[in-house]
Amino acid sequence: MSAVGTNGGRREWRANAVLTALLVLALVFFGNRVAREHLALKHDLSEDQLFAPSDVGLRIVRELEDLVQVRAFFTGDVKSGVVQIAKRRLMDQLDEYVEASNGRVQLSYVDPNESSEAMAEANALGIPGVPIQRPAGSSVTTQNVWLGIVLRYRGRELVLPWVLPQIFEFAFLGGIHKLTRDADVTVGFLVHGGQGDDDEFADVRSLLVGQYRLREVLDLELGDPVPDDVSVLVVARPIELHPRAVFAVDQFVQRGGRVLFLVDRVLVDLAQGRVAPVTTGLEGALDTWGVGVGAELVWDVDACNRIPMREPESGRQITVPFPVWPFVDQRGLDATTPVTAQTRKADFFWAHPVGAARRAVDGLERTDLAWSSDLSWRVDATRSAVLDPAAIQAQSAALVARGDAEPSSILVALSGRFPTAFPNGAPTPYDAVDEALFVDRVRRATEAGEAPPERTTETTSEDVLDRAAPSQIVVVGDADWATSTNNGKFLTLDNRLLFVSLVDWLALADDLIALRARVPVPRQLDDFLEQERRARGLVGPRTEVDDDSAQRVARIETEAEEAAAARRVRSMSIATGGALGLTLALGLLWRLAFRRTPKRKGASA
Amino acid sequence: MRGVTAIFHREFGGALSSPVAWVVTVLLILVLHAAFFFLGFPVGDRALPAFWTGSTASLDALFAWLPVFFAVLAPALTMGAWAEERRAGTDELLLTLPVHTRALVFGKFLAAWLLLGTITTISVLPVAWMVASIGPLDWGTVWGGLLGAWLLAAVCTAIGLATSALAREELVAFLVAAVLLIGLWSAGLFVRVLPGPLAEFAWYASPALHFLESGARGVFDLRDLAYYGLFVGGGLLFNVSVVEGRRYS
Repeated sequence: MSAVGTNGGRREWRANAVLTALLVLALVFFGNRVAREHLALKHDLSEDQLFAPSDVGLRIVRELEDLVQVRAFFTGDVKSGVVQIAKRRLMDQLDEYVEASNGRVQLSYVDPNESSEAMAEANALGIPGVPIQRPAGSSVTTQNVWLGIVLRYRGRELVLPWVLPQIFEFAFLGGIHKLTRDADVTVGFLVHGGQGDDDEFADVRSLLVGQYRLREVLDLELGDPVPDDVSVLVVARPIELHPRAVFAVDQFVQRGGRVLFLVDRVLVDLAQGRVAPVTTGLEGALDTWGVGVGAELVWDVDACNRIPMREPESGRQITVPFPVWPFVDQRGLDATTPVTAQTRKADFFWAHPVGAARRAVDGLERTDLAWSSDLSWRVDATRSAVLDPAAIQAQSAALVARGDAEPSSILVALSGRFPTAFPNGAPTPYDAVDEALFVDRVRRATEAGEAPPERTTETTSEDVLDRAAPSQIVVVGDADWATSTNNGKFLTLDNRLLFVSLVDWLALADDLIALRARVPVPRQLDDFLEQERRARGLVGPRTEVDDDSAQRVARIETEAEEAAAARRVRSMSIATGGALGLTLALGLLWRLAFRRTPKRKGASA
Repeated sequence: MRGVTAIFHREFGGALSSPVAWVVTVLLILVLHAAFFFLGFPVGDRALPAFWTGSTASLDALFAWLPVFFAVLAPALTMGAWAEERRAGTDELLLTLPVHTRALVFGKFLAAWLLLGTITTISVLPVAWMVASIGPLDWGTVWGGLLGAWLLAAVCTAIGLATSALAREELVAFLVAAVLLIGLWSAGLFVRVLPGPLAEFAWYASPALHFLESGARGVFDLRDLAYYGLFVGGGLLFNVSVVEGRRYS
């Protein structure tokens, strides 16, 4: 009998085992603590690269010219487990950038819960204590938690009042980017006619607040120029811009200013089923620059969003593909331009084709950034507010039968030295008296049954700049995508990203585009059902016009659904069968090897 | 280390010669795949939809299940490593061999780890190929996930072996190891109710979270590697110490 069998030996053995276990646990615990503090090497093998510092982020901190002081106002003893873990992650992320900066980022922590001075400092900086609740037994306790950061660089200061790991990288690096830029970049907004009375674009404005100074551009028609401090001008849904306002935009472009035009040629009222044409006032200028926004709409049967409708017969609420709400995914986005190379999708609503002007313009380079699918047409805008599934299906079927589909550009960039649209002189500013007289002349002509008088534009003797400085403009054949109408549903996450990326691009802030674009790539599976429907010639909404066709379509739909289900089963069988087959193959290999080995051993023996 | 290869061959061959490993493999494949395709991962904050419901080319739900499966599989594969030797009385013969205890422990560990890792790879790769054929699968996350799964398997195997060395009965070894591993896995589920420092400790102590936060997302982090290494090293050290104690006591 071994000594283990005796009581004394077993006791000693157990004591040793327990002691060893404790020592091992202590080793594991402290080893991990040391590793956590001192090992910072991390590599992201995934394609999306979301979980390690981005290359552009590391470059920003490595290329800092001077010290950036980071003062983190973090609560030390966070009671909530979830927030504590979030804080730990933030600290890890901060450490990664401090490490990468080679001493150019200096980090210090302050705990506002520890001292009243620190709390007062945090409050003075606008860093709030956020009440966080945590269950404690049968009750709930609340603790004010601070997770704010102050960045300081060459006497300038930027406060990030509340950061979380999910938004940390953009907030932190975007903040450093803003602080280290030589001057603030101002983005001007010219909405509609420049009256400043519309907040459809308030949401997209708010997206720019952290990075840019914003200002409304007003009274251009009265003779004011676009303010000098504006670097990028957003002309959002222009409606009947006065020639003098167009002249101001033209001269802004001549001075090197960059412009984003969001152009609608129709206004659609879905509730009333009305479509009203829009004159932007910019038609002449855009034509001079070699680009035109068509009055037709893009009808995309292949890549379009769905709209909720009521089925006429049953009254059921259904969603059907709405071809005048096209989306553009990576197939239709220019992969060579930073702004669209990092965009994954854009949703448009009643988009107009952005085509070439009647004549090409020397010295301007055109880049088509986004275009509709191969299965799209240009259609008359008047049918775009019809919410009848059968009519939409009929229109799609008729277009497919016609067979002349072709992609339409929706987003176009032009760069170079732009010719002025006012070679004959600057138009006179708006004059209320002249306007009143003109309206009166029109009224009297109408009453007399005569043709209304044409508006004449007089010019002034001001100097007109022509091809004065290189510039860049972007023309989008839709403005709805950037508005907060339809309860904000048009301004999708992808559209938000596209809008700010366009502004970043025009403001020459490509780094920000790269940072903003750090979102997961969509990884949708093949839609078996849609593929089977297409293979059977079904496109667009699942409705038909007459009863016979409806029965035929219903039969094909059922066939498609069965085929899709069979493909799903086949896919699962391949995966599971493959795994079982691999197991069987390994088993057979092992049996073969196992049978051979004893014979050899026997022979040698 | 002299003897490691011989012990490895003995253990690995023994495992493959018995029907248990094959039955376990087939069961794992069927259950894991069924969970992935039809159930998703409906547990905690990391709930994920079933593959067909989510319609996304990703193996997240498959990887999310692995720590749970390892908590059962690793003890099942290691429970007999020492306990069975003791029950059959072969441990005394084994311990008298001119082989260092470290070689014995390491050989057994390698055999069980390789078996568990191979079973996992066989279960995962065909699914990955299938998913890649019908969607844009990120292969980086697959390779990262497999690497992480092998490391997690090493931790679970080391813990399973250590409990097997302590227990007299296989069933006891299995239950203790399974409870320990399930406990470590579930630590991450309680961070909402735990106080801050304890939650942070639970978060970092859980091998499952080191896997799900890093490897399963395709991230290679040296801190995770240190964590796995320390856990495996500690587990094997403990194992050696226990066996050594028995050898010389």
